[in-house]
Amino acid sequence: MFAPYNLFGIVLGYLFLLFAIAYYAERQEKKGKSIVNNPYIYSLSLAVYCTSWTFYGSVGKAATSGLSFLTIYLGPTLMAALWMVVLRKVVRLAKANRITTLSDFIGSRYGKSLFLSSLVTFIAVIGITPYIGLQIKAIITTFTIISGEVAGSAAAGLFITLILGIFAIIFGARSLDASERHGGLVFAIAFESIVKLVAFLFVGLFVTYGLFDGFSDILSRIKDSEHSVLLFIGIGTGTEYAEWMSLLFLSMMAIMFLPRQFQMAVVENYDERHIAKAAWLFPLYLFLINIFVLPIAFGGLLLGGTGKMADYFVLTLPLNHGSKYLSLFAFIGGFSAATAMVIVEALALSTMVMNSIIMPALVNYHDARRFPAVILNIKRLVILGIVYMGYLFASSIGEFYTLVDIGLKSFEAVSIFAPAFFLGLYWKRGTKAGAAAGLLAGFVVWFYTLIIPALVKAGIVTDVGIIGYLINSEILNPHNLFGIKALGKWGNSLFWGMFFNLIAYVGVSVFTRQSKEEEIQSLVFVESYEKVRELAHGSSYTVMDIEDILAQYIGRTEAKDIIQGYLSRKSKKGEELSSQELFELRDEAEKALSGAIGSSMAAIIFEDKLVLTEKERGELSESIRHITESLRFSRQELADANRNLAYLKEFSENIIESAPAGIVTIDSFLRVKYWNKEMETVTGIKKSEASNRPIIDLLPWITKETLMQSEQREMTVQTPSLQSFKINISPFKDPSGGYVVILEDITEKKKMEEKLLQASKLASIGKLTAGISHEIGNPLASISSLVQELRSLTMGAEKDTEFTGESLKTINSHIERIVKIVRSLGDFARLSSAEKTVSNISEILDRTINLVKYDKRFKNIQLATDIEDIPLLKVNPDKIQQVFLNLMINALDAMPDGGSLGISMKKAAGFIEVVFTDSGAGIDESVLDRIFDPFFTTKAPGKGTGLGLSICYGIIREHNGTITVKSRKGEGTTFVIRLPIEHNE
Amino acid sequence: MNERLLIVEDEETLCQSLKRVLEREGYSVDTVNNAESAHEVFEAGFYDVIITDIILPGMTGIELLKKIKDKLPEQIVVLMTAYASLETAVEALRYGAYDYIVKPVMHEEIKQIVKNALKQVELQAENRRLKKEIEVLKGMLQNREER
Repeated sequence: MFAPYNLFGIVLGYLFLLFAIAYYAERQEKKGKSIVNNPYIYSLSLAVYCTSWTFYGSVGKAATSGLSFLTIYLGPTLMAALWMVVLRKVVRLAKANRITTLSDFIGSRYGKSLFLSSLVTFIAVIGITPYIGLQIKAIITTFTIISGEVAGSAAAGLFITLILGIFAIIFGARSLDASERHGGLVFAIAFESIVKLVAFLFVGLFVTYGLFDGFSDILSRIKDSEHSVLLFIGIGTGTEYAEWMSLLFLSMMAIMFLPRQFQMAVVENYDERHIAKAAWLFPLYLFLINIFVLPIAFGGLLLGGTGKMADYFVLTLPLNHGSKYLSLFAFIGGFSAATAMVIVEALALSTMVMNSIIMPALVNYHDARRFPAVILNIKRLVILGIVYMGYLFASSIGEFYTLVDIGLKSFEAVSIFAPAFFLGLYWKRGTKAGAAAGLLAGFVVWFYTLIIPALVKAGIVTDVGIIGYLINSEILNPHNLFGIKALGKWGNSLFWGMFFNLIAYVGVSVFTRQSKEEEIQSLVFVESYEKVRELAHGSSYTVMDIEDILAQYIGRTEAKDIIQGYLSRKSKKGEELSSQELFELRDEAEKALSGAIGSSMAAIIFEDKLVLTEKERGELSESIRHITESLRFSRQELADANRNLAYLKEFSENIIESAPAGIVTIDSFLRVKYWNKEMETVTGIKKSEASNRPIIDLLPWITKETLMQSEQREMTVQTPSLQSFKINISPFKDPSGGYVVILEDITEKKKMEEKLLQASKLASIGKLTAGISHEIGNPLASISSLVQELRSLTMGAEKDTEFTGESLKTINSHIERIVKIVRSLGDFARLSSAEKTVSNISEILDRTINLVKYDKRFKNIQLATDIEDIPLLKVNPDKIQQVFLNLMINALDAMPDGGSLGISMKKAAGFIEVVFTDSGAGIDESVLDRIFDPFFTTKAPGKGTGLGLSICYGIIREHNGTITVKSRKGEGTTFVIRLPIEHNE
Repeated sequence: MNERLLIVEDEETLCQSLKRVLEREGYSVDTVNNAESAHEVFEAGFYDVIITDIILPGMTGIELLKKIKDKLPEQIVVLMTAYASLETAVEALRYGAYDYIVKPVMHEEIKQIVKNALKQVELQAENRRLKKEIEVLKGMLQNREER
């Protein structure tokens, strides 16, 4: 037996040796002569898998259940075969994405979800703490056994836990290092792996060859004993098939998902090539450490040990058989196994807790003074807390369960991560929601089937009330969920946990969508197996990298300013920045870039460097530079355009203001919105008075109906004050409605028009006069001649009287002729009225023909008329006659040497048509489309005003009719007038 | 033997009135109401004086004047026009009209013009006769010298 204080000394000494070894390894590491960077140390560090459970528990398991203990080692061996594919991918992804924990890995896969990583952390802490407790329990128990003193074991436990905690802190949290790689620790763990292996082999050899005569002796003796069943598996043995399968699967998961395994295999991996060697070295280690499990277990049983004691055969067999120092060595081996596990597990869990829970909560205080020191102390507290939680578990529940039992609960717990982890690596559709749902479902089943019964058994929870009902029910019995008993204890939890986990994960993933971030991350994790490796170096930026990227987009000077600003704030030089600070600098750069090119582009440039090749990045930056440049130009252009626009606005407002027409805009409620200066002049209403008032109140002679039209309208109105306005109303194209009303005061214009018409009439008469004077001159000459004759008469003879009578009669008829001509001329020349009356167009035409007939030139014209009966039309007869007269005079002018004039009048659909056809000189085609223009004339200066046809055109338009011309030089001319028949008038 | 006159005038009343007035002066007067008929009835030397209106249906008085002058340059033609303009007068005289009368026609004026015209005709005839006599005398003188 060893005195407790001696044991303490030995334990402490051993721990300090470990620390010295770690310190040495770290020194070598810093010198660049790494003694850790090789596959052998890597493989040995993976043996952190073998805890006190392996060291003591396997023997216990073998002694009670036979071969089932093997599954715990066959599982990892099977898994090791897949490492070249799976583990290598995980290592690459973790390195490329700077992932340091399992929780980060899962969170990162699903769009860098903080929620998922904290969920994983939560499950891991709950699930692993008992496992840590198991190690502490083992240390306390073995300490008690080897010291032989039971008293004070509780105090010793507390003390040992404290020492373990402190060492975990020394190894894992001496300083804050974002890389979370610990070369010294790895070397120390590897050393411990050697110690525990050698210690176990020594005990094995001692038992097999010292206490017995080798393997065959022990096996044949056990076959003959009551324990022979332990040699078999299957129904009736200690190892049922279902349990065999479940344990095999659980241990396969455990080697991947136990946080300490992730820490050692992934985070502490130096070179992924080491994985290839570890894939066979690690199984070899497992094989070696298991060779003597059966001999020791069977030996213990054969030497009178019981199943209950079997957990500590490794220690008790040498102790009870006179090999005190071997048992001490065995104790040290077991201690090694336990401490390695506690230290690495506590470290891995504390990193998870820090990264997923503490840091996000504290991130807002990162400017606080001494923040890094605070963080470091928090991490230390977390490590201590985790270790003590394990102790608490060990002292409260641990005594009811064997080592293996507790360990397997942890295995079950980490198996919850399997669907989210493995499917996440190979199935892109997995979403954050799906992963969360799967994890939660798995956790609930795990907690219900394994933890609730444990709590009940420990008396922490009593089986009354709802829990009692559930536990004792048939369907929801936690031991045999849904009444299925064949799965066995572990299979029950595993099967249903996996079942619900998978269903929830796949089901929810299928029915939810990935966010942009999730999509990118799923691509990174699932697809870019090769690309990730290619760009792994590129992911961690140097200060130069950041500056270069910035310079590409915002210019070298600006980039330098930003970098310098950051460095001076930190009062550090570029090369002194820690990776945490580099990260901050990168964020800062991303923000600066966001200002220039938008946040999403900036994020893509910095975040997704991974998914872009060098060439693509070049193209991207080229195109963005191009865009930025053209943006700068277009900003310039925009400013110019704005200035121009302002000028144009002012300009157009000036035009509207100074336009000689009243311009009003109204909204859809007919309220005045704009009222220009001319409107003030025309109406005498000020702009300020008009604004927002209904236009109908202001201009009562415009009716609501005329305004509410969807098409442009034009009309002429006369106000009660005898002003004439031409009003043009057009609806706005704008969907909000409203109208533009343009008002033109045409009172003066109308007067002028009337004057012009009168003048043109007089001009026509002037033209006629020359021709008609002959017509008047002839009867006048006759009268004159007769009167001279009469005067010379003596009136004596009867013959004279007779002649006188005859002559007077003749004279009278000539006078009548003259009167008629003069009257029709006077009729025509009198001031015409502006009124439209219902008139007989053919009568107007007749009258005009009769007037023109007096013209002497008409003597050589053959007139052919074809006049149909046509309805009465509402026209201005004076103006229409003016048109007819003009056209006929033109025809006479065109035929100075005679010809023929055809006049026809017909009724057609909706209009009447009057056609004048002459056989005169015709009009040159080149001037045909100008003949209606005012002042256009082909006659010699002084012979024509050039107004005749343009007046005709105006008159016909005023009657809503048309006038067209057809002519060819030398072939005569045809004028066609069409006047509408307005039925409603 | 009476002097023969031709009046070309489409205004019937005026035409008949003038015929009566000139017949009363002792002339023998024919009338037609258009230029075409006038051209038909015109025979060289048959009418001593032709009086024609300018504005006529169809052929105008000016055209008639030209045709007549082409055939018989010494034919006396007097034009009548309803309105006096220098242009018409110049045109008429250029084509060889003897004189022109502005309507309404004053009877004294037309009688005087016809009288003058007839004197002209007489003078022309006498001129022609004297020239002939001179020729004859000249011939006789030459014969005498030859002898």
